[in-house]
Amino acid sequence: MPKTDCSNVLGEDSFNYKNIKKILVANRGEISRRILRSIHSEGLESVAIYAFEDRNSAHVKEADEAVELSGSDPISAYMDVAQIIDICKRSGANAIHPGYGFLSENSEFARQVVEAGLIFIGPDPETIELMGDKVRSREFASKHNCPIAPSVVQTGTLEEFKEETQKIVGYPLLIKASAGGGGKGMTIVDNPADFSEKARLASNEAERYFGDPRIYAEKYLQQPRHIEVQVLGDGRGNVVHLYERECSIQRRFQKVVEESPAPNLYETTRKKLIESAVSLASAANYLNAGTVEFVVDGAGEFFFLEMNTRLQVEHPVTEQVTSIDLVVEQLRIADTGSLSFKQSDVSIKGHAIECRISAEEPDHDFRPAIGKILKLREPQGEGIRIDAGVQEGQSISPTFDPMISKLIIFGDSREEACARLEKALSSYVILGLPTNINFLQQLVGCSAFLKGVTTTSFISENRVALNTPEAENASLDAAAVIALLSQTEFHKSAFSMIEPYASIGAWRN
Amino acid sequence: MSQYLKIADQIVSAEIKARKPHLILTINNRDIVVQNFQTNYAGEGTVTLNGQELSFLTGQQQDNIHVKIDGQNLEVKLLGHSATASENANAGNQVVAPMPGLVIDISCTEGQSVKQGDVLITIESMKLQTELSAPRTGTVSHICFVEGATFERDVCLIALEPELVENAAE
Repeated sequence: MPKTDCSNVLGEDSFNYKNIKKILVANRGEISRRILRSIHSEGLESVAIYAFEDRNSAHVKEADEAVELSGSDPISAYMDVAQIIDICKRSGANAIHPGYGFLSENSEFARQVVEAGLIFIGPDPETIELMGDKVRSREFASKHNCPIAPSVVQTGTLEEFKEETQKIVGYPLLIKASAGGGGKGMTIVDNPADFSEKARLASNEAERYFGDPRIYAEKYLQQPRHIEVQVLGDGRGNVVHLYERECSIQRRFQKVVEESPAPNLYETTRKKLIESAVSLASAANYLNAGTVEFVVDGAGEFFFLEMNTRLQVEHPVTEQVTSIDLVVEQLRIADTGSLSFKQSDVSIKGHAIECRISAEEPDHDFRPAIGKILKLREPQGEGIRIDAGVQEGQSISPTFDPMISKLIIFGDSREEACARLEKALSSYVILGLPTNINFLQQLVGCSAFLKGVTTTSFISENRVALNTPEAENASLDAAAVIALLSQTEFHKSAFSMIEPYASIGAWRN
Repeated sequence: MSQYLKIADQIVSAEIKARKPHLILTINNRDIVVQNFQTNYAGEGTVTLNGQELSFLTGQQQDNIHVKIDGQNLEVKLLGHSATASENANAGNQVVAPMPGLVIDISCTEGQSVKQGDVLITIESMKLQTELSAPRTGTVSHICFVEGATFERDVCLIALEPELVENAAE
């Protein structure tokens, strides 16, 4: 079984690849680096791609080869299917790993990769298409042991949609994009007066992001938890699970803190969630790594949310507690079409927590920030893993997601992980632009988090406790003194002026 | 002569009070004895303030100095010798772009009366939509961009008619 740990030392077991030789990583930043690491540890060759803006990025330097993409803007460059397949062929790579985001859940991309005679490291195109359609996937899930929340799909006019929704779903409700993901085109509607306007905006947003304006309304559970199950499948109905991740703490429908195992979860609920996920993946003849997401209410009732047909951002917490390198396992499944271990080989040890470090202003509704990273000092110590894509001197531009890195902490117990996390956050230095580090410090120190009381409304409910405490005078004074004395002119006038002149200066005043 | 700085949304004044026997700086009327100030090329340093030693790390870009002390990140902006040199002369009269981005939706019209907090415009930056609202109650005088247009950071998106200054005399 492939292993991973905090120092990223892999297990001794070796594996003979029969098909995959060289892999193109169709992504950028931290996830590209993460995938490259496993490719290299498996003794395989790698090809990175990059947009001009990313030419100095670490993923470009770390790959065996790197090819620049052409394109009118960097995002469309990373999404250019024909160009990426062409680079793959020219560089002699025979497999593609899509990472997350970009083309990872694009069934057309997967199809073209396969048609080009290349190996797609992920599920088959039909499964991506099925799970990517939120309406079809819900129907599929409900047929296979995964309960779904009451919902209405818009088929007729907005007025008809509103009426039917009121009858079947009720308020508050969630409007989601049928082709959605990542919180795009998703909105909460509290009362009928807001319905039409919010539905219109959500549909517009869905059209822009996914080229598909279809939306649906779903019951909005109050204070639910978001819990997901990691699965691996061989494409022939055999599925193993790697337990669950708790990902309730979110802002703008995007995860901020994730952990494994989920704290305060009844053993019976955990068992049912896992059974549902495995049953769904097995029915879909799921191939490679995937995640089944659920909302769970306080009573342990749960509903299927969606299945993500790719590696998740938060996959490291699962790796830390199971000692299984998920990317290595993805490569091996793609090579052989079979799983390299049995369910009975998988067990959980300890506790892992991940924080997403982002360039943003938590006190201003988490608006994203941009700027240059002037100083970067990453925390070090036992149980600390950092998956980062940026280096000191690099800029966070408005082009891409504002995530800077992922801080992953492992401990023998949740208490130990929390204590290490607090310490790691306080020694994590990113200067030059606003980040959520201070906010995360408040978050992991607050009693609700320490008790493991996590719901998707965690941030709004604990808002007051999470606000940046007002800086004390002593800190203001220290910052002022240090900032001034760091200026050559001021430093000179404070220290190097000959006494008589200094006196005259003071005296003239 | 006093220098002004903006730290954590507060304007503070700073002045050299004495150089001997120790450097004393007055920050907002508080005297700080500064000893053993040391810093290297990387912006790492130590200083003793009022007898307490601290270590720090700084990074500077133009007039903005980012300081990490005691697990806190503070951004210091040098304003020079005049506190009114602070930006935002137009604060309150404009909805300013917090980020470069794209106009998604305009929810007001020129000449419309709006209340403080009313959403005037929805923008998108870094794949995120943000609603920007009226900084005060007033009348929309100018909408600077059309839907679909892109803009840079700090530009005015929506202008309000200047507020008439009320006569303070009762």
